[in-house]
Order: sequence, then structure tokens, then C-alpha cells
Amino acid sequence: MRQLFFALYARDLRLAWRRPVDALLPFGFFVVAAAMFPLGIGPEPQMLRQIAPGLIWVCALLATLLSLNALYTGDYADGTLEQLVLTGQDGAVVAAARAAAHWTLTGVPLVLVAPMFGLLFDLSGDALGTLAFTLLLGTPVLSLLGSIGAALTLGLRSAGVLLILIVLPLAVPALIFGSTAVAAVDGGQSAQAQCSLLGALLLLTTVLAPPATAAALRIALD
Amino acid sequence: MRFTSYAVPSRFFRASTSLLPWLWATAAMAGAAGLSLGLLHTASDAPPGDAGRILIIQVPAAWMSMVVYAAMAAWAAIGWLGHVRLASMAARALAPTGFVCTVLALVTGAFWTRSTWGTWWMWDARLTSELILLLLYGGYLGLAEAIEDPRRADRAGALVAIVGAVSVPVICFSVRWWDALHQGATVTSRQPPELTDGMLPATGLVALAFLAWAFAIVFVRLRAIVLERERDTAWVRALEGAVSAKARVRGIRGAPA
Amino acid sequence: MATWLHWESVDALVAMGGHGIHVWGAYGATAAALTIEGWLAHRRARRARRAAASAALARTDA
Repeated sequence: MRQLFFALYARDLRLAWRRPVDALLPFGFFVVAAAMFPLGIGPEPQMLRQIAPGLIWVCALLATLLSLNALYTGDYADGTLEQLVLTGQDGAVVAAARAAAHWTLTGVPLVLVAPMFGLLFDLSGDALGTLAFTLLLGTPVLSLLGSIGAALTLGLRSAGVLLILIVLPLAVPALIFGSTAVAAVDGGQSAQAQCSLLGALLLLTTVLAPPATAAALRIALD
Repeated sequence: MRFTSYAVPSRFFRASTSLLPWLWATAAMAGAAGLSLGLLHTASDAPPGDAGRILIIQVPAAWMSMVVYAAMAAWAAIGWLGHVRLASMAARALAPTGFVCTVLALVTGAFWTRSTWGTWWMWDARLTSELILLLLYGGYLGLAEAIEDPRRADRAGALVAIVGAVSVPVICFSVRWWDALHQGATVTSRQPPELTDGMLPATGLVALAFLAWAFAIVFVRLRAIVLERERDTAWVRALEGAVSAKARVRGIRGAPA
Repeated sequence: MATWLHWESVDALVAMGGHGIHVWGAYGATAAALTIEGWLAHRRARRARRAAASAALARTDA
């Protein structure tokens, strides 16, 4: 099982390495989207500092969602997906490996860059650390939840919109816990509760999402 | 006569034909009683005053939106995991009604908020959760309608509904957390819509009316789905063949239909 | 108006203590939504019956 996981994981990273632009697009979206807000709302530092935690988290969420579209479509198109899922390989491991690769390519850059954006919005040093930590816990959750949506909407015409519609409600808890944690720390309070909740959410999602994704893949491929 | 025998589409069809008039009658009577009680007879006390009469509809609509979602997820799961075709069809029939109930809960909630607080919307826990429920219904309906193959549509919908149903407790908890956190920051404490005791009997009757109505509408829709999917089976042919043959004969004889 | 009714006049009923627009707006929206849903459901049922009937007729003719 572990062999399969690492083999698929390494393969996905290698494929992404050959087309770095595709892997960097969601990251670019995040930067653009986050930069739009001061332009749209106004550069007043007090207000920007107040909305920064939620703003950055929402932009991270949207960037992750937009990159989920292509999660399975490539392998679906050339038949690799059917080979993997329908030849008795453990679907949950396939799903977990794919989600892990997606997180490495999309979530990790966000974890690294978002605190820098937090600086642009004048968040305190502690808040920046909390931002990185909550994104570290939250982006895997988003990748895992998104893989369920990507598997369900495989091959459909309006897959992109449907995927966002399906995954957004599920992502609300991560968004709330993550953004309120950063806001709390920026205001001088502790965010222990939110971080524990995020950790629990991550555990729950890691256990439940891959089997659900595997079931969704079987439904889509049958 | 076992309950599971109604899992056969033809039996359900026959049973629903005799049940529907009773359902419509219950909905009409309970609705009339509840509305007249709530609008004409009861004095409305407490701060909301007469605006509280909106809650007679808002609260049952919110209840129904949640009950229908749970039923939809349950029947979808039974249909998918238990391989009961009628159960999958029942889930598809329930979804639009649940969606309408959610929209109603939101719209009447907006009217209530406007009447009590002056704004058309309030981002409190209950209304925000209702909005998220609307998204959950939208995801199910969007996905099921986008897939042409009925089997795949039913199964994909079932998975979305189950994932949604499992997530609902987590989502509600997080929204209530979010609401409690931000309530402390505002000057005015926002009270969620509360039913006054005087309005309870009327609300109960309206809730019963909503339930009967929902059953009736879902049965009508389920009958349509059954006919759509079972078109080529013997019992449908017999049923519709007899009806249309009669109509054709009447037409040939020139007698009024 | 009768003594067991809460309202003194029809005007009072319509006005609803100042909340008239909102109360009747909410009730009106509910009536509209339920009517539309009912009409759509019955329309689907009618279409399904017609389609099943013509399919049955085609079968008996063939």
C-alpha cells in the first residue's frame, strides 16, 4: 500500500515538474486576488488589517478550488485512471496520493507565501505565524475535500462550477477556524481552540475523504 | 402487507393514488386552521409584535428544509447501498421540495429581519446555516441534473448527499462558533428569531400543513419520475395503454372526452 | 368585527401594527413559491403520463 502511494505521489510530482506553469497558476491567482482587495476597498491600514485574516484565507480557498479541476481529468482522458481504479488497486490509496500531490503543489506554496501577504496587510508577527500554521493544517483539508468533488464531477460539462458549488459548503469549517484563529492572535488572544479544532478536522478528513473519493471515482468510471 | 413491498414502483404508484387526496386535504385543513389561528385570532405579544406572525411560516419552513435534507440523504443512501431503485427516485423527488423550503425559510427570514431590525439580512447563525443548506441542495441538484445517465446521477447524488449530511454537524458547529465570536464585537446583541408561546399552536398546525404538502408534492414528483423511468415496463404499458385506448375509442365515437 | 377576532377592523388586519408590508410580503412569497412548485410538479407528472401513454400506444399499434 505504501509503495503504491509513494509511486503515484512521485509520478504526480514528476508530471507537474514538466509543466511548471500549470502548477504555479493557482499560486498566481492567489497573489492577484489578494492584491485586488485593497484596490477595490481602499488602502486604509486599520481596515485592511482587520479583514486580512479572512481575506487571505478566502483567497487561499479559492485558489485551491480553482486548481482542483484538473486533478483527475488528465488521467481520465488517457485511460490511466480507469486502469488504476478498476484493476483492483486500492482506490483510497490512489485518492490519498493524488490529494497529497495536489497539496504539495498548491497548498505548500500558499503556506509559504501567505504570511508574506499578511505583512502587506500589517498583521502582527504572531498572527503571521498563526496564519502559516492554520494554512498548513487547513490546505490539506481543502485538497482532500476537493478531491471528492473532482472525482464526482469527472467528465461533466460544467464540472468547474459544480465542483466549487459542492466543495464550498464543506470547506466552511476550515475557513472559519483558520481565519478566526489568525484574527484572535492578531488581537492578542489565544487561538488554541481553533488550532485543535483544525487538527481534528484534518484527522477526520484524512480518514474519511480518500474512501469517499474512491467511491466517487468508481461511480464516475462505471 | 409488508412495508418493503412498497419498494416496488408499481405498488407505490397505486398506493400513492389513494393517498394523495388525503394528503391534500390534511394540508388544506391544517393550513387553514393554522393560518386563521395565527393571523386572525391570537394576540401577538413580545417585542416582535405583529411581525412575529412571520415566524409562523419561517420556523416550519426551516424545519422542513432540514427534515427533507435528512430524508433525501437517507433515501439516497438506501437506494445506492441497498440497491433499491425507488429509494433513489425518492431522493431525487425530495430535492426540489427541500430547495423550495430552504428558499422560503431564507425569504421569510429576510422579511422578518427587515421588519424587526431594519436590514434585509442578518448574518446570524441560523440564517447563515440556512444559506449553507441552500448551497448543499444546490450542489446535489446541480450534480444530479448534470449527469445524463440516471444510474450514475443517482449514485453521485447519493454520495454528495451523504457527505453533506455527515458534514452538517461540523458546519453548524463552526457557524455557531463564528456567530458567537463576532457577536461580542457588535454593540447591539442580535437575538435570533424566537417563537412566542402564543404562536406555538398556530406554528404547529402550519408545520403539519407543510409536512402534508411536502409529502403530496414529493409523491406527485415521484410518480412522474417512476413513469419516466419505468416507461417500458409491463405495468406502465397496461396502465397507460388502458387509459389511452379508452380515450381513443371515445374520440372515434365522437363523444365528449 | 366579531369579538373573538383579534383585529378591530380589516384595515388593522392589513396594517399589522405597522408591519403590514413585511408580514403580507412573507405570506405572499410563500403562496407564490408553493403555487409555482405545485404547478411545476404537476406539469412534470402530466408530461410523464403523456409520454408513457404514447409509448404504450405505439407498442400496441406495432
